[in-house]
Amino acid sequence: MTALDKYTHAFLISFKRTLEYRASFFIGLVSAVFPIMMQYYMWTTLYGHSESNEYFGYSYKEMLLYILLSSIVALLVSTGFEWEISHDIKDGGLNMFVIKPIGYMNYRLFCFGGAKSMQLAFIFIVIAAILTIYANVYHLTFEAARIALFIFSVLLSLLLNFLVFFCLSMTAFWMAEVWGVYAGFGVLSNLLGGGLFPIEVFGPLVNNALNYLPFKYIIYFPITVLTKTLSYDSITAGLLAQACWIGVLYILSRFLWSLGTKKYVSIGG
Amino acid sequence: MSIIVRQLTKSFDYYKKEVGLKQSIKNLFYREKLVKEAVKGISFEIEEGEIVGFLGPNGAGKTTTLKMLSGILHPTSGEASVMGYTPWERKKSFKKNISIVMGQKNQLWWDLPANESLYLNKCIYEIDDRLYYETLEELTSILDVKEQLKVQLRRLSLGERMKMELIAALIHRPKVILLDEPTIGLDLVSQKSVREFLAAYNKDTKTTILLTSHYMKDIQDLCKRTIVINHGTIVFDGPLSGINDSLGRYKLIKLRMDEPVDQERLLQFGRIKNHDGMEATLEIEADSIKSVTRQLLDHLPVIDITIEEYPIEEGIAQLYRRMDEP
Amino acid sequence: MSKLSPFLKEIVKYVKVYGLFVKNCIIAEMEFRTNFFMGVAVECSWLVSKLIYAFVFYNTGATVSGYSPDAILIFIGMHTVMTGVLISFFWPNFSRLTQYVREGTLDLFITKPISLQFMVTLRYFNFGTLLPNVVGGAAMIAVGLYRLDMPPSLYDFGAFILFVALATIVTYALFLLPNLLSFKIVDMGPINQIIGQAQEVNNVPMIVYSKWVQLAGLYLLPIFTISNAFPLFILGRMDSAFLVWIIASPIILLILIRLLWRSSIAQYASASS
Repeated sequence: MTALDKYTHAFLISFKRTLEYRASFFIGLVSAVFPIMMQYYMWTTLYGHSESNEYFGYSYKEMLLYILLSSIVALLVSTGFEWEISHDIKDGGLNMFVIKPIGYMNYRLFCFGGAKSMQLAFIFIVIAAILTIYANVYHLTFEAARIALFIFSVLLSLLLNFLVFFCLSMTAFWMAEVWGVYAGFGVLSNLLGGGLFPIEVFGPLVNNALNYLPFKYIIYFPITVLTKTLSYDSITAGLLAQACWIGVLYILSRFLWSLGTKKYVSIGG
Repeated sequence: MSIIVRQLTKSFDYYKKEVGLKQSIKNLFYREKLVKEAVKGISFEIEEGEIVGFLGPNGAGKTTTLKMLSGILHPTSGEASVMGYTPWERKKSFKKNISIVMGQKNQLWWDLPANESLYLNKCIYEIDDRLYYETLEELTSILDVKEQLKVQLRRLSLGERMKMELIAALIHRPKVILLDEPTIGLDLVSQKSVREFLAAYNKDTKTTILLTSHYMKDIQDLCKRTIVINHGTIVFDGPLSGINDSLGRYKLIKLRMDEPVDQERLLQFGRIKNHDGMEATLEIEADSIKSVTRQLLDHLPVIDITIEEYPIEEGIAQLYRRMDEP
Repeated sequence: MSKLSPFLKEIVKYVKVYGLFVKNCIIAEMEFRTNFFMGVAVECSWLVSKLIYAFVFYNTGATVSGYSPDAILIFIGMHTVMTGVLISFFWPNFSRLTQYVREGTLDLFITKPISLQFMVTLRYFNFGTLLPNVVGGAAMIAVGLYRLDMPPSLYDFGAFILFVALATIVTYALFLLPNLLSFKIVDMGPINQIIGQAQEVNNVPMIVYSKWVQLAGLYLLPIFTISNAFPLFILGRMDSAFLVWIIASPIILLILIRLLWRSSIAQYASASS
C-alpha cells in the first residue's frame, strides 16, 4: 500500500464515520439557532429598526448577514481532532507515525478532510439558502465571482484552522492535561476570529493587533468577502494573507512536531 | 424467617433490533416488542443467619433476583419479604438494615481516602459516633487494612479496594447482606481472604448472607445451602453435597498424545467431549476413574493426562436437563 | 440530637451530608492543581466572552428600552453569576446521570437510605468554575450599580442573595428536565449541546427579545427569570404581579421536577435489566 493509498483510506473512513454520526452534526447546526436568534434580537434592538444607523462600520443589513453566516462558518471550520491527537500522544498510538514526520500530519489532514467534506455539502446548502432568502428580502444580488471567492476563501480557512489546531495539539507532548488549553484557546480563537461578533467591535487597538495574528482570516475574512463591498484588490490581499499564514503555521507545525517527537521518543512512547 | 420469596417474577420488554439499512428505516415506524422473562415465579425461604449461594450461568436471573430483594427493581408479579419489609417499597428503615455489594462497582469515592467515604456512609446511615468507630475498628482489624484507610481509593490494589467495599457495606451493621459476584476479578489470595472473612463475620454476627457467584469455590467454602438458577427458575435448592453428587458422578480426563488417534479407539473408554487430532477430552464416571486412567495409559500414546472436575456450567445444564426428564 | 423533631433531624442530616459532598469535592479538586488552575483559566476566557457583550453595548452607546449600558451590565453580571451556579453545583451531576444508568452505579444509590434525587443531583461540586463566575459577575453588577449612582446597600445585598436563591431553584429544575432523558437515551451529547447553546440566551437582557419570545421565556419555560429578575428588581422596574411570579415559579418548578423525577425512576425500576 502506498502512502497515498493509506491517506485515501483514512479519508474514506473519516467520511464514513462522520456520516454515521451525522445526527450530532445536525444537532450542532440546529443548536446554532440559539446564538443566531439572540444576536438577531440584540442587533435589531440596537439598530432600533433604523436603517441609516451604522455601528462599527456595519449597517443593520450587513450586521445581520454577518451574524447569520458567522455561526455557520464557525461550525464548518471547527475541529475536534486535537483531542484524538492528545490521546495518540498520551496512549502511545503515535508510535507508528513517529518515524515519518509528514506522515502523521498528512494522516490527520486527510481525516479532517474526510470529515469536513461530508459536512461541506450541507453547510454550503444552508449558506446558499441563507443568501437566497436574504437577497430576496433585501433586494440584493451576490455576484457569482464573490461567491466563488468566498468558497475558495473558506477552503483556505479550513486548512488554516487545521494548522492552528494542529500546532495547538502539539502542546500535548509537554503538558499532562491539555483539556484546559484546548477549551480556553477554542473560546478565544473563536472570539478573535469573528465567530461571535465582527472583529470591528473590539476597537482599533485590538484590530491592529489582530492584523498580526491568523485568527481573523479563519472566519471574519471569508465572510467579509461576501458581505462587504471589498475591492478585488483587498480580496486578493486577504487571500494572500491566508496563504502566508498557512505557510507560517505549516513551518511552525513541522518545528513543534520534531521537538515533540524527540521528547516522545526519548521517554519511550 | 429473614427472607421469604413467593412466585417472584420479572419480565423485561425489549425491542427486536435488526441489522441493515432497510430494517433501520422500518424500525423508525414499527418495532417488534419482545418479552424476556428473566425470573419466572421463583419461591424460597431463608432463615436469619444463613449463608446461601446463588449459582447459575450468565443471564440465569441471579442478579435480577438480588436486585429485586434489595429494592432496586420492581417485580412484574409475586411477593417478597426481607426482614418483614417489602423491598421495593424502599422504606428508610429497610435500607438501613440491608447492604448490597456488586462485583466491581464501587460505592466508595475514587479520589478520596476510604475513611472519608466511610464517614459519608456514617452520616447517610445515621450511625452513632461510638458504634461507628467501634465497628470501623473491628472491621479494619480483621481485614488488616487500618493503614490503608487514609490512602486514596485509586491508589489501593484491587484486593484492598474490595476489602474497603466490604467495610463500607458492613459499617452500618446490616442484618442482611447481598453480594453479587464479590470475588470477581480478584487474585486468588484476595478471594480466599474475602471468603474467610465472610464466613467468620457470619458466624460472629449471624448476618444473613446471600451471594451470587460464578466461582464454585465461593459456594463450596461459604454456603451450606445453594440455590441453582437457570433460565429464571430454580433447578436446585439444598445442601451443596446434593449438587456435588450429581456433578461429581462424572469427571473429565484431558489427554495429550504424541500421535493422532481416531475416534473409535477413544470411544471404548468413555464418551468423547472433545477430539482434536492429538488432544482429546473424555467423560468418565467418577467411580471408574482409576481403572480407566490405567487403561488409557496402557493402550494409548499418552504424553500428558489431567483429571478435572466437571465444569459447573455444564453440571448445571445437565441438572436442568435432568429436571426436565420424567 | 434526640430532642429535635424527626423532620428537623432529617434536615440536619441532609445539610451535613451536603457539606461533606462539598468538602470532599474541594479536597479532590485541589489534589490536581494544574487541573484546578486550568479550569479557572477556561472560565476566565468565557468571562471575557461575556464581557465582550457588555463591551458592544457600551461601544454602541445605545439605550435599550430605557436601559443604559451600565444597566445592561447588571443583567450580564447576573447571568454570569447564575452560569457559575449552574456549572458548579448542578451540571457536574446532571452530566453524570447517563453514566450512572449505563454503569449501574444508579442501582447502588437507590439502596442508600437517603433521597436518590438528592444523592444523584447534588453529589458533585466544582469549586474552580464557581469562583471566576461569581466574582466576575458580582463585580459587573457592582460596577453597573456604582456607575448608575446606586451604590448597593445591605438591603440590596440581601435582595441579591434572595434572588440568587430563587434563580438557583429555577436553574436546577429547568436544566434537570432535559437530563431526565438520560434514563431513556444513550447518547446525550446532542442534547447537551443544545442545552449549552440555549443557556446562552441570557447573555443579553430579555427586553432585547420580541414580546412573544419574552412571554415564552418567562411563563412557559421561565429561563429568563434566572438572570433578569434581580436586575429588574434593583433597577426598580419590577411590579408586584411579576414579583409574585418570581417567587411562585421556583416552587411550582420544584414540585414539577420532583414528580417527573419520581416517574422517571419508577420507569427505570420497572424497565431496567
